[in-house]
Amino acid sequence: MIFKIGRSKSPWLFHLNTGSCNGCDIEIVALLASRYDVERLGCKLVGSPKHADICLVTGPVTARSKEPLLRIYDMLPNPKVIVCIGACSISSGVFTDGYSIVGPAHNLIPVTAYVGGCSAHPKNIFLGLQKAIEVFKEGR
Amino acid sequence: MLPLIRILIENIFKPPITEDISSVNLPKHPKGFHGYPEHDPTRCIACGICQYFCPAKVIKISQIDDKINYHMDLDQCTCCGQCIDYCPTNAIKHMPNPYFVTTNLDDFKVDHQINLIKCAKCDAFIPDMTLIANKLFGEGKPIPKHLSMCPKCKRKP
Ligand code: SF4
Ligand code: SF4
Repeated sequence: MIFKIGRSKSPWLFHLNTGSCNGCDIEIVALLASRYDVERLGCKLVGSPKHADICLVTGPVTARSKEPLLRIYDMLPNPKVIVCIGACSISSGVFTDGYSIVGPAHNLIPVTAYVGGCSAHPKNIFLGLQKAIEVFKEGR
Repeated sequence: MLPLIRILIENIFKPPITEDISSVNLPKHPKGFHGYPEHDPTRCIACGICQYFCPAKVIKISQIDDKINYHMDLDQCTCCGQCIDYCPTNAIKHMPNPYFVTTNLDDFKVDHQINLIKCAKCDAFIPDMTLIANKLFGEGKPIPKHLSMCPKCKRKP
C-alpha cells in the first residue's frame, strides 16, 4: 500500500540505452532539465536499476546489448514497468533487418507504454510517464 | 532533541512538496512542428514516389482489385519529411503536434483505400490523374488523352 502511493507520487527513473543514436537520450535529459523539469514531480534519474520504478529504454536492441537488457530487466523491482522511447525502440526504425539488430525491445521483454517519434519530444515522454504511473495507481 | 521531534511530527501532516503529475500544464510545442506524416487519400494518385524516397520503408502501396491499399507503419517513421517534399499532389502533411503515446502497437498502423477509375480504352484500373493535369495545364482545362489511359494502351499506336 505505502509502496503503491510512493511509486505513483514519485517514480524513480532508470535510463537504459540499447544502441540508440543519443537523440532520445538527449530528449530524456531535456525532460529532466529546467524547461520540463520532472524533478518537481518527484521523478528522479537513478543510477541503479534496483532503485528504479520505471525503466526508459531507447534504441534498437543490438546483439551486444541484448544480454545487459535481459539482466537489467531481472534486476528491476516488481512491478516491472518498461517505457519504450523513440521509433528505434518501438520497431527498430531505420535499423530494421540490420545485421547486428536482434529485434525491438518488445520481442524480448514485456513493454508497458510506447512513446513514438524520432526523436521523441519531451512532452511525449512525459505522457508516457503518465501512462506508466496509471499502471502503478491500478496496482498491477 | 525536542525541536527535532517537533519537526518530524509536523512533517507527517504537511502535504507533499512534489506536484501531482496528472495536473501539470506543460509548455506549448513550437509552431509548425514536424510531427508524423498525415496522408490524405482523396488527393493521392498512388504514384509511389513517397514509397521510393522513404528511408525507413514505412509506406507500402499495393493494389487490391479496384482499390489501392496505402499502408503506413508509423512506428518506424523518423518524421524526416522526404515523402512530404516529393509528393507531386501535396497529399501528405506533417501533423502539427508531437503527441503519439500508446500502449497498443496497432495504433501506429494506418491503412487507407484509394479509389481507381477505368482506363479510357480497356478495362484496366488506373489512378485518377485530374490533380496532376490541373497542375500541368491549369485548372479547368480538359485532361489530355494519354493521362486517362493505362500504360499498355498508351504504348499501342
Ligand atoms: S516522414 Fe520520412 S520516414 Fe516518415 S513516412 Fe515520410 S519519408 Fe518515411
Ligand atoms: S507521393 Fe503523394 S501522390 Fe504519390 S503515392 Fe505518395 S502520397 Fe500518393
